[in-house]
Amino acid sequence: MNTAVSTTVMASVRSALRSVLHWKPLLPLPRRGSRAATALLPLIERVPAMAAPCRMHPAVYAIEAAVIDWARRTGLRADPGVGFHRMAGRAFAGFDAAAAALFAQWLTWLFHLDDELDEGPCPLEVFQGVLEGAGEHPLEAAFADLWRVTSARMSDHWRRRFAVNLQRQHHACHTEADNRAAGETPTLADYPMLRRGTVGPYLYDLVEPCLRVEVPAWVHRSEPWQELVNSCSDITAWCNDVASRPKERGDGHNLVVIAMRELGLGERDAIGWVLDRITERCRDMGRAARRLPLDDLPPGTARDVSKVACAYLAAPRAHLDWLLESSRYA
Amino acid sequence: MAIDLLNQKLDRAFDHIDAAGRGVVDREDLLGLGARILIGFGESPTSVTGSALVDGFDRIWAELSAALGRDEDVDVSREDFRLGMIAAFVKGDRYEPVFHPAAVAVANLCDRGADGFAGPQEFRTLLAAFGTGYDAATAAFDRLDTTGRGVLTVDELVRAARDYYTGEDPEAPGNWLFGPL
Repeated sequence: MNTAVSTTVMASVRSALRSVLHWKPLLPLPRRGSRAATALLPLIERVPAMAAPCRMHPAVYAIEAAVIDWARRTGLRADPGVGFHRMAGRAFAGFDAAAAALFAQWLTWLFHLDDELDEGPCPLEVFQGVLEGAGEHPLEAAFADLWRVTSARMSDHWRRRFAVNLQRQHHACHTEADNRAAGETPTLADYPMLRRGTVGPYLYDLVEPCLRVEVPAWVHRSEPWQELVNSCSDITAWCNDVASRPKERGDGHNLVVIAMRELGLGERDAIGWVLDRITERCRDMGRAARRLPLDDLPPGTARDVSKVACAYLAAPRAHLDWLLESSRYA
Repeated sequence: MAIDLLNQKLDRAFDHIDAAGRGVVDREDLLGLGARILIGFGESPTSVTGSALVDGFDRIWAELSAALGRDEDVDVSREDFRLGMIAAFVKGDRYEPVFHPAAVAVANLCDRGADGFAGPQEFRTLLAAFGTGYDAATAAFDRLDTTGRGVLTVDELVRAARDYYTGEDPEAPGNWLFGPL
């Protein structure tokens, strides 16, 4: 082989390698999620809003590195198999990598808190420490770090909203703990409201600082916006219930378990019933988005509000793709 | 004369993207317009049509930046927007593979009945996302509805987009896509 041909071949190989390395993060990971998560796959056929896969952020590796670095600094784990960076990379695929990284860090914190509440020695004390900022648990330091970065550019109104939603999660977890201690489970009627609390309602507030925008208070209070957030929360929480049920070993705070008990259904039918409810809530979410009072806002603000709303509308599919590939509930 | 018309239309297209009135636009501004359109119809970016729109807008920005020889994260001024749009989609060959699919995705959003037609209400919903008022949207609809049926076909909307963004014919109905110039 002469030198010119050899150089051309090597350039082609390098180019192909670069191409593979570039595209690798954009491809889906093998399905390492819980087998239970595959029960959610019919939603892709049934729900038009979940029909197309989320795009993956082109800088997903950089987002992963940012999360690992932050987790090490704050004393938390960042298990690559769980892949919060990939959930955030999907939810914020069209925005800058810093937005996705910040959201992934919050997800890492939230799921650590969730684990601590489920399995830690003094679960609610950890929560109290976060609320009061007085303890020494790594979760508290991590929270303080994230709060400093996140809240800096937000109004007092947004900060109050976040604090109220943190308190809501605390109350909801308290209720769950009391139920477990008393051997009780919520009813189908009570569960959605309780679940909106345990899921971490401030997670939905975090979209705004990640996108560097703020939804006007009157829009946030409006019925369509509340319905948009609540339906998004219900969809992702109930999908999570389907995927996590085997790992929770019969805990009664799960929509599938409650449907089985209260409606007298077998597991398969109960999952089908939950998928029907998820499908309904997806329709509710689209209807709520259509009713948002965008025409009453200045054009620039309407665009900002639309970006936040779009992140909510994309969340169910981003979450589903993550459940199918993440080892968290496997 | 014809180039003045095209520049006038492209200036308005720039204003559609520059909702905050910064005098420059970036990729997030264009995606913000896409988000505003989607929310007007209650459409998710993860539906088939929504996904096509987001991908289409993203590709339009990539082509515009490439035509200007810039990275995609660089702001674009009004003057450069004109130059880039003309280079990529009017004189260049990128309209058919890049702009057209995005126009189809937007037009499909207006076809709520999946019957190939868009009524005046859907059209006004679309134009509200671009910042066009009720009266201008009604005037635009009447001008585009050349047969007087009271509905537009998806194909007519797509053709109007091509007229608007690339055409230099002052008589083309598509010049009225966003109301009187």
